[in-house]
Amino acid sequence: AKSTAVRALASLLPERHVVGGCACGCPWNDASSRCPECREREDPQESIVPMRVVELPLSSTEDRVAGTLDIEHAISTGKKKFEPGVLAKANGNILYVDEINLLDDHIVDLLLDAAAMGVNFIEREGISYSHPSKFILVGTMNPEEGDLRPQLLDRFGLMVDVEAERDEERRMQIIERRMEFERDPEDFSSRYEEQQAELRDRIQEARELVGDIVPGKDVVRAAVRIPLHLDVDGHRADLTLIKSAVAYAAMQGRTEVLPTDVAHVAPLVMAHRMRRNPFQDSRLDAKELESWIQSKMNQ
Amino acid sequence: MDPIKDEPVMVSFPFSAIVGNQQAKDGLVCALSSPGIKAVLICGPKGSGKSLLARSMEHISGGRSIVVLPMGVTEDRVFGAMDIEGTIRDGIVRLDRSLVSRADGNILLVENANLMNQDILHQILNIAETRTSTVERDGTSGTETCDTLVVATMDPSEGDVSEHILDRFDMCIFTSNMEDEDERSEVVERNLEFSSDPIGFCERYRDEDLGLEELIARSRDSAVFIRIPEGYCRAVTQLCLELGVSGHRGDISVINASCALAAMDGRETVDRDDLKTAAALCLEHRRRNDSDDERDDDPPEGPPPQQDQEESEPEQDQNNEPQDEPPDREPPVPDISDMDQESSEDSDTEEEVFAIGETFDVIDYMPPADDRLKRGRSGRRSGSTEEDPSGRCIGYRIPRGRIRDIALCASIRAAAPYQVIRDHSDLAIVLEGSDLREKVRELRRGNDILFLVDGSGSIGAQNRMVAVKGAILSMLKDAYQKRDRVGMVVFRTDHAEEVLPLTKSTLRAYNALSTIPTGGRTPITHGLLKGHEVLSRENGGGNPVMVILSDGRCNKSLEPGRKPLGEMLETARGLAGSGIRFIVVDTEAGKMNLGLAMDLCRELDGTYLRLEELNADNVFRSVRRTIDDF
Repeated sequence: AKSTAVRALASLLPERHVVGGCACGCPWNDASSRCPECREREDPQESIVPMRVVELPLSSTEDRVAGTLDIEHAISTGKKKFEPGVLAKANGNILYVDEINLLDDHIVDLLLDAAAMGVNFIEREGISYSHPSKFILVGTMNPEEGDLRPQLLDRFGLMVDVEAERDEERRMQIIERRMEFERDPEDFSSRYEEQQAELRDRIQEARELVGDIVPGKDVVRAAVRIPLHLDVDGHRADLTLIKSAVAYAAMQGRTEVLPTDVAHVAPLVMAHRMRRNPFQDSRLDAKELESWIQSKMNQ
Repeated sequence: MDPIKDEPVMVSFPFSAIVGNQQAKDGLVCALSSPGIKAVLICGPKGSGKSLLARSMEHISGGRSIVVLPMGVTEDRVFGAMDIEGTIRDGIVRLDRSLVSRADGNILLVENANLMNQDILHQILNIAETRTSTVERDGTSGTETCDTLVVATMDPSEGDVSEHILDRFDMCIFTSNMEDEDERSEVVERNLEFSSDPIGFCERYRDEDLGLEELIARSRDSAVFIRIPEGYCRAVTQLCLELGVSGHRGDISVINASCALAAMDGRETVDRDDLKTAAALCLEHRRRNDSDDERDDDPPEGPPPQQDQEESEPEQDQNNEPQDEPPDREPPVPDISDMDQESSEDSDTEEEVFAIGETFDVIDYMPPADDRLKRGRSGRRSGSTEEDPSGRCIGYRIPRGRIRDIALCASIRAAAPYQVIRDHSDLAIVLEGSDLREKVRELRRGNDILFLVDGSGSIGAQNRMVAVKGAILSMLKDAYQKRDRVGMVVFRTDHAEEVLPLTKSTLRAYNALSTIPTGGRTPITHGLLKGHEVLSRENGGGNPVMVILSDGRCNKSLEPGRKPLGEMLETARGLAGSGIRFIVVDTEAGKMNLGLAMDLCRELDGTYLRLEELNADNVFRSVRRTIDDF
């Protein structure tokens, strides 16, 4: 169920304005974060492309992920050229890693570096290069197969628990829909097109609204108190709570963020960060959290 | 393409706008002000601002820019390698601009120093210290100067660096998480402001940053002229000896830092306060764990026996009030000769399952992976084997035998100088057999830690099982963070049982721990053999480690008729060469210690610890006391 959800996300994603022909998908409107090739381009053309889900296979080697010397080019022309890797293709897109807890540690390190800086620095195999690499990292994992490194866990903004459906009715529905889809994918998709379009538009509008929303002091307080109360390390939790609350408000069509928005998104933001003691139950009781926040706000 | 000119423009956060972490900021300013300080380590938990601090140094460094050393870096990029195009074109070896030459006159940033290849890190620190880099590669040699400041960051919960490497850092500054709500709110607000208008935000802090920059420049110039009064050096040396700092780098770093501090304060001589501050900056990371001072302070008796410490509470590891064990819990002193018989009477106590005691931060109890691994385990070293194509590529070499993992770029480099003279037809590059190179990979091996737990009645009788479980839980958490695998074997009555096969799943480990029953006699020999069997099963897994938690009172032998203790010691002697690293944690409470666990440890050639010594707080506090008292 996890992979299906992520791949289906692709069709909801907005379009991007990029520099035509660039392997890194450099953004059109932000000249300062373009790759060296784009900056040297003589006559850049704007191009509109859909946002994609770029997959990172588990067996990837670093040269494919970070990018490397374009061997073919070197052999045929004798000149050095950068061959972009997955981190370049993922720029401005969604980077999807299935079973991320099974990924090799040194590949995880590469992801961490890029996720931290938004830039991928390559120093290997005759190549010295850097390019923008801002992506939305989506990972899936089965906790019974092993845990994720705390440092990587911290870099995930939100966590969603997906459980197999237990209700008999719903399970039947899942099977039926799946079978319908397989029999005639196009017909199936067109039946949901209206709902998809609506969702797509809502997302687009929200994206435009987000830049104008400035959270007030009470919202910042709420966002800071929750991680403190839950004894969570570091500042990423605080910042993510704010950004998520802002996004949530925008999705509701509002320009004002409220502390209740923070409470609403808190389970998504905090659940995976609370495992300071890896043996604690990491499930955060959403009701308990909301009522606690309410009580704090009434003080 | 010149990487410096063409790097994407990133405005970094202004140094003065960083909230809190004042000690860390002061430390960095001191490092920038001292021409003698060449390497600084920023150490702290995730999300505490390490990268932020490092990168924002750009604003106060007086023109020195930050050169980033990425994680996946290969040797050739760091130290210098051939410029393929130029060489092919000219037929003589031309060198590319290496990272080291770009770092000359700048600041070299190494993030996650504990996760990168340690050899490369070591070499970089060498270069910084000696200010030169000698290159012998790709058919050419050269020496270049490199005047740089290495700034490294690291999250210690992710793994350690060796003592040798730690010693090469002049200074180590610590970042921590904020507890104060107001401070944290300020952090969020400034972050939001910076995101929405980076240029404007920097403008607001420009003056403050400039002020710091000027201070640093002035101090750097005058630092070399600071006078060091007689007796100061002696004081420094004495302090280093007392803290168990080995080598001389510590002394020198303290002097350098002191001079910088005096210069920053506008003075001409160093004073006592400079020494204190400099010592805290430069010696904290060099102290030895087993310096003599700590042995004299007996750490308090372990956590008091408590029946219902529940796992739902977050760890409370600050509670270290000394508590005496209630006298009525202690059994009468047994005679060793009594125990060394196979007694027919049933000394079983009733079977009980104890709760898990309080948890705490563990010390670094893992002994270094030294030549123990060379003995016994034929053909395996702790790097990756030649068969294994996974692992990070860190360099290349001339192949031995069949090539499995070709290093194409290195092969091209090897062929480059000869292109001018080779017959090309329509190929751009011609490679011959002698040009081929293969990759050198590094696979970081974690540890396979097997906990061998004494489930006998003697542990239960003293109610030690609660504390033992607490200790195991603490070590399990430590192992989880370092990505080690853990397993558990429990021995009691007359057998040893594998209750947890080696796993990375913390949930399974916890469940196994909660259900360990106690009661019955102590068949240590059975336990040792079972533990060895479990670890030997793993071929090419992690480095095998056995942590034995017991009082050593073996009173059940494997072979009928043999004396249990003697058999135990003989078995131990046999296992000592097996390549497993042994750690014996003596669960016997202080007053009653018969020294049997110590004997076991000696035969195993292992590391000995008392249960209380696992608690990191006990060690840390005595060092702080030493610095403060000085």
